[in-house]
Amino acid sequence: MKQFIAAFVLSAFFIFAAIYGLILAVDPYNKFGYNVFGFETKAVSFARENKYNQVEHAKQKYTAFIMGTSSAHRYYTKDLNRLTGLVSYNYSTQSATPEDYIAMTRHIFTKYKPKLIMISFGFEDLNKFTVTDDMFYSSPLKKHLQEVPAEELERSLFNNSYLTLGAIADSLNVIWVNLFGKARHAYLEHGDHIVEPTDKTLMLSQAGYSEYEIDPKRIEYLKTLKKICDENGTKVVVLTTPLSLEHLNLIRHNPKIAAQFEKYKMTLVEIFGELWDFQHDGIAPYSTLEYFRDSIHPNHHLSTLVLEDIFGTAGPKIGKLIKK
Amino acid sequence: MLFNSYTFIFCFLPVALIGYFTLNHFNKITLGKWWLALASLYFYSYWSVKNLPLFLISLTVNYFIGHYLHMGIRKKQTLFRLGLVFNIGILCFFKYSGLVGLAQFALPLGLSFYTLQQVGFLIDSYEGLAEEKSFIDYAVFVSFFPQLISGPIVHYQHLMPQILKNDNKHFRVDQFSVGLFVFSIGLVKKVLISEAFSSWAKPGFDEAMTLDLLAAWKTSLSYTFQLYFDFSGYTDMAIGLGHMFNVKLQQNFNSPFRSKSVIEFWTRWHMTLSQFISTYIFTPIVRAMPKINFRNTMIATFIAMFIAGVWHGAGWTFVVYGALHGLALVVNHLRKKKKKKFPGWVSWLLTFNFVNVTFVIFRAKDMSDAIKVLRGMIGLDGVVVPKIGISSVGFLKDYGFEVGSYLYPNDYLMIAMFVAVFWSIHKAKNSIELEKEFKPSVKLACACGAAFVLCIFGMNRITEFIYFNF
Amino acid sequence: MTNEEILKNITVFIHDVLEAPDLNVTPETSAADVDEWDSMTHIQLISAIEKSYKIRFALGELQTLKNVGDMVNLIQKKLNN
Repeated sequence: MKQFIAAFVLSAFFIFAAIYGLILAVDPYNKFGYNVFGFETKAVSFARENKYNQVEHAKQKYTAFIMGTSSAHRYYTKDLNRLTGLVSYNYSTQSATPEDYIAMTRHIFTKYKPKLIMISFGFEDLNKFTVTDDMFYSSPLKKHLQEVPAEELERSLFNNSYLTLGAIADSLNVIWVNLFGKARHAYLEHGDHIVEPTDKTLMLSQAGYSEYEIDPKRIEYLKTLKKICDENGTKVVVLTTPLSLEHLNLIRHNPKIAAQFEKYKMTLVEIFGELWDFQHDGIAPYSTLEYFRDSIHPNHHLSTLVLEDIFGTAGPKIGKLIKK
Repeated sequence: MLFNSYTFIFCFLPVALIGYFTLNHFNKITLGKWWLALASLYFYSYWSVKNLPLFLISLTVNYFIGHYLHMGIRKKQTLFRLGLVFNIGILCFFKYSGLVGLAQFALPLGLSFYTLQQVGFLIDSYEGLAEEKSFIDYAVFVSFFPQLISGPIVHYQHLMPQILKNDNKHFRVDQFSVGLFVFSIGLVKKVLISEAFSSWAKPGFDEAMTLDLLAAWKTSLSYTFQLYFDFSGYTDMAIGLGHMFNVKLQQNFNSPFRSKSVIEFWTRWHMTLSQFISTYIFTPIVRAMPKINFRNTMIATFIAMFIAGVWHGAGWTFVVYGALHGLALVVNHLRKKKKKKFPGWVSWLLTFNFVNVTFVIFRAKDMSDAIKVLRGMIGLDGVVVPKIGISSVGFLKDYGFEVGSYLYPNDYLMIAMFVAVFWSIHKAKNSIELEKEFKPSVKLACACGAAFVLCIFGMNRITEFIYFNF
Repeated sequence: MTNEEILKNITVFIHDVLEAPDLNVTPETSAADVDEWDSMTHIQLISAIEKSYKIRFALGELQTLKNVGDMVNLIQKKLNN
């Protein structure tokens, strides 16, 4: 009988050590900066950590940053560089919210003196009911959210993204991909996103807006962000990320939500002075698979057109510039 | 505190066990009981100390009432009734005050459970079946942390003799081993399985505005299994913890999805609650009726089930849930009486689907939310067929079906898990059987160790038990 | 009354209330094994036994009575008091 308990404890200990050791050795989120196995690419489930570390350890002197959710993944830094003459980094991460943006801004300014910060906003960004991604709280970014006391940001005793099932899956994925496959989801050197195969139809994605209320807290974060940039002479360019026409219609279908939709744009104009709006009917001719991956993710083609609208000299074709 | 948290497993539990058995070892039995009670109170207040005062008041008042019920006083019945009013009054106040326009208070943790447990004790005391000897014994009974927050509901005369038995006062390797085994099973059910189903149920309930056929079924089935693995996992953990303290707690689940009738379902799902309702609510209602005939027992059944439904919360969804199950029970009894029976697999299918559908109502925020899912389940909001790698699926468009996107690895995992669950419903042993047949071996220990480690990794996001809100 | 006599009587009640005249009733028989023995027939059974022996079961005893052997013992105990 005693053997059972002993065997349990010992096996648990050794299995834990083996798994955790493997994760540490693979270092899927690039936390430690080493590369024991010489992998070509690492995992990206914990995009915030990965990008945070890239920004932390980069040799480049970046002078421009792109922020947003995964909808901003396909702004290629080489295109922004070409149009602005700056050296840019794409700091967009899945499910980002203003908490991420203010924390990222502060983080950026600890190491760089950017001339430009471009933020791609989604309708849900200002929604009180949009929850900040859990992974923000287990990433080093959270320490830059000074508005929230540290205890409130603590999530658990072992606040460590390597002590998760996701980390196991990602470590195995990293090994598999580097040994046998092609990296599907990986961030390249300047936060750029790798090209993925497209679907065959333009699917409506994440189109549920049952409750919406503008979050005053998040407005404050964004105001602070603007202030920090103003103080440092950094230009802030904000835009609303393109949505397919079908998605737009869904938002505007509910009059209550539609009213909030207008309010959210005006709020952004109020905070930032001017807004590049791509969430309007002008998107109609571009609402196809040639420009979108799904209803909320513009592909590289459309993303480049957006950049050319904003930073190019040919004049806007899709976007509308709303000034205060 | 949650069972599935690092603090509980690595800090609280070892300390509680070591303290209890060490004090008993040096024959400080009463101190040992105080240790257990105080540890349980700490466990209870970990989330918020605000829960504690009400709990202590409830415990103390009930102790004194129970005490005086045995003193041969004159107004025994009055005191007993006062006790009932006190407990039920508190429960109703916190649960239903919002309904009558009063401010809705947050439901104190575990209130529904510790109230029911003590009501059971009062009734047993009144009928002469239970008598607590001392305040500390009573305190241990009510606060015993393995079952404090969400059951299994225990009877005084079932729990305390086990605590007081001499053999049980010392750490027992055999009991601890089986406890570790069962606890691991529960941990896996909660951390790995229930969590997964929860992630597939949530979007459908909380985010989508409409659900197509497959999405609706994915949502409802996922919730049904999420709820089962969550609550039965919790129960397993509670039972495992009980074993570690040499206490055998009662089972709550016995393969409920094997049920071939609604009657059978309630003998397999949340068994301690069903038994409580049957014993202390259904039976008194029947006995209060003029005649014990079929019609009256049916009325009593409906009322008891209805109460069981609204015990879960003040909302139309719970009313509908209780009423539906009450109706189903009546219909079931009628058919039984007339000896009408469907073939086995039909009975199973009907029962399972009824349970699945009513759980949708149980989960929904309100009736319109429930209707959203139910509509989808009968295809009223479209049918989207996923692209399962066959290009020929496109022809379905001609028949009004929409073709969706490819399935992600996560979707394949979900399908695999559904298959695994349906297989295990019929073929695998449930935790009661596993516990009974437990034979310690190194192989089993290593398997448990591995499962335990996976749970450690899976635990890094704190979530709540669903039954926490009751 | 001996336990055997009580068992004989109970068997009659069980056959009658459960409408299962062919059921083999032994001290090991319990509600879980018999489909017809559910909460509804259980209360009818209890009621019949109470009337016949002029005893009263406490609510807290009802779950015990789901097993025939325990039932016989409990009835015996009550008769002796």
